[in-house]
Amino acid sequence: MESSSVIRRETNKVKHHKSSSLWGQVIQRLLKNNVALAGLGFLIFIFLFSFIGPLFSPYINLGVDPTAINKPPSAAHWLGTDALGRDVLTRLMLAGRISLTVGLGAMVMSVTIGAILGILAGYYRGIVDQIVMRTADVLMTIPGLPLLFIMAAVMSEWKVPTDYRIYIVMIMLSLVGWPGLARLVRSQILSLRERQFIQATDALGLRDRRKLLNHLLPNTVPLLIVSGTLSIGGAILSESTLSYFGLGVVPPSASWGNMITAANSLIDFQKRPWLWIPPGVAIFMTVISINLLGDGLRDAIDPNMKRR
Amino acid sequence: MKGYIFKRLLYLIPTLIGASILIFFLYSLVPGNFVDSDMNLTLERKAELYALYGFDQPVIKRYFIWIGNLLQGDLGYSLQFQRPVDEVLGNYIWSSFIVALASLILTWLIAILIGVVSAIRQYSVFDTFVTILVFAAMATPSFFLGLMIIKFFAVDLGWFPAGGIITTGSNYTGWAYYKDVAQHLVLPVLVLTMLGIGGLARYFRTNMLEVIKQDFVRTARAKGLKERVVVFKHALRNALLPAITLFGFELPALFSGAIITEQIFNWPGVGAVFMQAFTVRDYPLLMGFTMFIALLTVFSNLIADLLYGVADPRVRLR
Amino acid sequence: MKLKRHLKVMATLILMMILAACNNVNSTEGETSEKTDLDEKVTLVEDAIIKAESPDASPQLALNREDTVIVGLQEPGGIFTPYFNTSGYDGNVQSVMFPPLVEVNEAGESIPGLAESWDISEDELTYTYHLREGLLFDDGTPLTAEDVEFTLTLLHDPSYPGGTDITEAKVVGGLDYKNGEAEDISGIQIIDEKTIEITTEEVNARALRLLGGQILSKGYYGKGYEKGDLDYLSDLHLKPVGAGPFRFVAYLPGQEIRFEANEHFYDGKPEVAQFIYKTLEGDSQQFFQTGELDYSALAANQDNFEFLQEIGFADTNIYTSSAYGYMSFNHEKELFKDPKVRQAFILGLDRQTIIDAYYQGYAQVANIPVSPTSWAYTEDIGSTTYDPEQAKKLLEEAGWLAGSDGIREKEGEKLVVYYFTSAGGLGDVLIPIAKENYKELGIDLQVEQMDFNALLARVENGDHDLASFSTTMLTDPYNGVSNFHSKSQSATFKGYGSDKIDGLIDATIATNDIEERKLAFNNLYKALEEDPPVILMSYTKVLSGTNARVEGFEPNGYRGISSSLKNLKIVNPSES
Repeated sequence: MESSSVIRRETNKVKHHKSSSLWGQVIQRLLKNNVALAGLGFLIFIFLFSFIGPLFSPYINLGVDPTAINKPPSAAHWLGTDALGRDVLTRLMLAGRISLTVGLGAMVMSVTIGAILGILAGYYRGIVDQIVMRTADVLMTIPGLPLLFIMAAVMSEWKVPTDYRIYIVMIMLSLVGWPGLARLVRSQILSLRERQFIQATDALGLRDRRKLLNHLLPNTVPLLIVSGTLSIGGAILSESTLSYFGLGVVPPSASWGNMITAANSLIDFQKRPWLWIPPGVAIFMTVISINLLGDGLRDAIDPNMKRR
Repeated sequence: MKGYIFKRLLYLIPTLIGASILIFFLYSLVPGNFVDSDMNLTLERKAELYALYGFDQPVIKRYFIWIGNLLQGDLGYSLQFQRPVDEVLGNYIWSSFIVALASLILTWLIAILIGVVSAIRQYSVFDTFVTILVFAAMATPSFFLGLMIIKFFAVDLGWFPAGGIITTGSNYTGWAYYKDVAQHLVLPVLVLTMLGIGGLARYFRTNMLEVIKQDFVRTARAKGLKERVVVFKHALRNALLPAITLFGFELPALFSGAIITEQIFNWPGVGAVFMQAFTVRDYPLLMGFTMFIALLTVFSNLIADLLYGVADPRVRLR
Repeated sequence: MKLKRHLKVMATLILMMILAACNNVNSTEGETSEKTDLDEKVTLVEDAIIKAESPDASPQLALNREDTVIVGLQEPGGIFTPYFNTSGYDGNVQSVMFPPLVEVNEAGESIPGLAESWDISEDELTYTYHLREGLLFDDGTPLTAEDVEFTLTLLHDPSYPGGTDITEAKVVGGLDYKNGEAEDISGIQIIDEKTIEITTEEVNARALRLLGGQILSKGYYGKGYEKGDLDYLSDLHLKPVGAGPFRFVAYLPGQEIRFEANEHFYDGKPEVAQFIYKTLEGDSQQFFQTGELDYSALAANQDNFEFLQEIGFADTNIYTSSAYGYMSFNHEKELFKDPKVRQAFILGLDRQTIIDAYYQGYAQVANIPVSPTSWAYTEDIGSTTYDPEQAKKLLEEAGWLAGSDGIREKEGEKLVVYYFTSAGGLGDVLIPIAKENYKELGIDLQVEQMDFNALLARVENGDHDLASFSTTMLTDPYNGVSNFHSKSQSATFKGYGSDKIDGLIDATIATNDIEERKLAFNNLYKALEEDPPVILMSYTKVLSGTNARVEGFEPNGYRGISSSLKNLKIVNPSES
């Protein structure tokens, strides 16, 4: 069923291999893709905004200001002030530092673990599959809430500084959160490994590492991109619910998630849109630029997919 | 294949034992318990209640008592409701199920449609528009979406009730009752569907893009088949293969309730009860429910594995 | 080409969304800037009852309910037998059906309930309750002194699993029944059908209400009672029989609890035929606005007040709660052994700013551990001032000297304090301000948020330095201080207390005379100021809205709405 063009492409790659690696070519193609570059541009902008931006804010060292509570946007406060009279723009920038790190970090970790385990299970099948997938089954049955409570208790017991907890939690959650993606990747690999182009690589006598890295992995990239973009948004938002367990960002530190949750009534929703629109837009922009970059990456890996 | 099924069924036993151990010990490590949540109790009274509920026994012993009862089909006794756990769950689980089922069907239908259309019209205005909506939904927390929906459809327009499952104080029976429930169902289902469509549609779009570039689709087109037949009969069938895995995840979700949406719409579902049980540490209820979901998870993964072979005969599981 | 268009469309759409959002901002700017002027000088809101401006605006949904009143309530646990519930919301359900012998009025004073009157003997050890004439349970059976005796006996039963500690009243022979072989309680004497006399061993001002509580029917709850076995009662928890204004009809889990008017009620059958508690998990605003609820208590703040004013059909009631909020010290920590340090923590916290920012005038800073609604309250004791300079001086005196990094030290130990609180609510405002305040004093405040149950467990463990709490509704001012007693078993105050304080606390219940008790409380409050057990935070207001079509709700800070339910009346808004 597989197209002859794909096989031709595969053989092309084998030929090209001497001059530049598959992934090298991908980067070259990516750099020619304007949309992907725009996504990258967005991302760089958001990073600069968050990490350098606060240095230019006149409010960086100012805390609570009871005289300027819930002010709408003005010349002094471009995005208004919150319920404690703090500058929303400055907090948005500071929040970005945490939310971007958490979002991207969680995405990279969960996608890496999920992809590796899924590919191994799907390709080798048999005992590898059983071990990985039964572990996945057990992990999937773990209830999330008690896990969070226990992590909170342990870290509080060990007096882990509150500012670092969120990162440890994100690592832990990635360690137990891979089964979903692993199952998806595995099911795709199970089907891919029976296709002609992989059978062809068998015939060519390629080593497993080459097959997995250069032939199976690229074909799961579209799936990984979708899962990755979905998980970034999820991680940024769910960070705010973690504070319920004492695992999230502790006030006065800000994150985009807890800035939105702070405006959690119909009244704030209607009367003070400057409290929730900026963090909402920031999350939205981050997710969408990751997606643009991801789409570009996919097109670069598989030029045939760009347009039919 | 028969050998594989047999092996899988055999592996169910250690998997479930592992799950039960994890679930029990995780809950037993959580700080706080039911008795402690009442601040007015004296220490003496607490000690009495500890003995009454068996909290003073060693954890290992409590595990075996629990698992023993579980094997006899006894989920235990809810501390907070003072009723058997299965009765309490029975009171709430079906209302969660109705919402979940309705939104599951809607979500999948709409997501498939969106996924297909945005794949065959990749980078069109429609595709772009949908992409934006998907990501906007992703940047919106569920409580926020719920509040917006209530604000517009219940408060401002008054089209649907703001929450609950029946009109308060009503005594409808028969059709009037179903109609009443259906009206209350609309908004929560709408929210859950809006939240769920985005991710699914992205997966379908990606799968579809993968499939339509393949030879057999070109062949079908070349044979002069109508575009609609090509897309929906040949391409879609193949694009749905990976969806089996996703569908496997949905089965337990049908019964596990949606905590935040249920709270906002005041829906008497199991998600809200679970959260409430957590705040008072009603462990028998929490563990019984978690174990039930665990069982569903393990089985639906098994079913998904078996379906791969049916859907794509090339797949050989060992 | 298509790719470029993709990008262009996307950019346009995003821009449109942002512009739409900005428009939204501009359109509301007028209102909000007006509002923020008010915010700048927060003044305490007075208790008030404000009539609805446009009762006609009441939604049709509410008007259609001609004989039913609906009130929102958090999901109860489903144990509707008084004294057996663990959830406070079960208590709300019970109070619709079970009035106590002795009621509480809005000033916290005892007034007649099922008991028409009562006598207290010269030596203040014997209580005689006189029941009203012809009392009936809602199943039509008579309510007599025997039922009172049965209820008190039940509470003394060795297997009683609930949270009411009746032994505090020290009824003569009570412990013999609970722990010994006695077949009945010798201190309880039935004089006649409607008179009962109870003798206690010690004078206790709380005994009147403790003994004069809600009454269980002996004929219903006592059927099959044998000492030492109360398991049979669990079958009756969902089928209560009481003697209140409304009779229990049905409980639909997660939805509602239905009641109907009780024709046997001593004050006559209520005008409203049906009363419903609708169970709610989250916000109740939208249900009140759409007319689904007739009465709703909201978080007290300016936003919600304006909301009630804007919808027009709400009779608004602002009253003060009888509870108070506080931050407790861990008295087992060496740091807080010195009262000067505790005083410094109080003086150095800008409570006024915190309370004003969060409650917007709907709470005031607490000065003594009792609410202004109580007869025991006085403004003359305790202070609410913020005085960082004095706080610094006190810390110096206590030996905590400025360290190199701005954090104070004593004998090489840094002044780092762990503060436990639950996420959300006041904490969101308190944490940033407290951190700033204490940093200025040279205290490093580390904050840990956790859910309430975990908080209790950790505090019990003694892991905290500071932790936030609020009391429940305090029907007697003694309840607000009883935990400061060194014999108190509350985990929160382990390590606090002295013979002096104990004596002063005991004195507050050693008499039934209110004037004498006032004096005793004044002495106690003065001593507590010197040796503070807690950082007192706030007395909060309660804000409630009633749909103008219903009259008769009179919420108070002690009993909520329950004592006024019998007076409910539905009026046609166009006539009122």
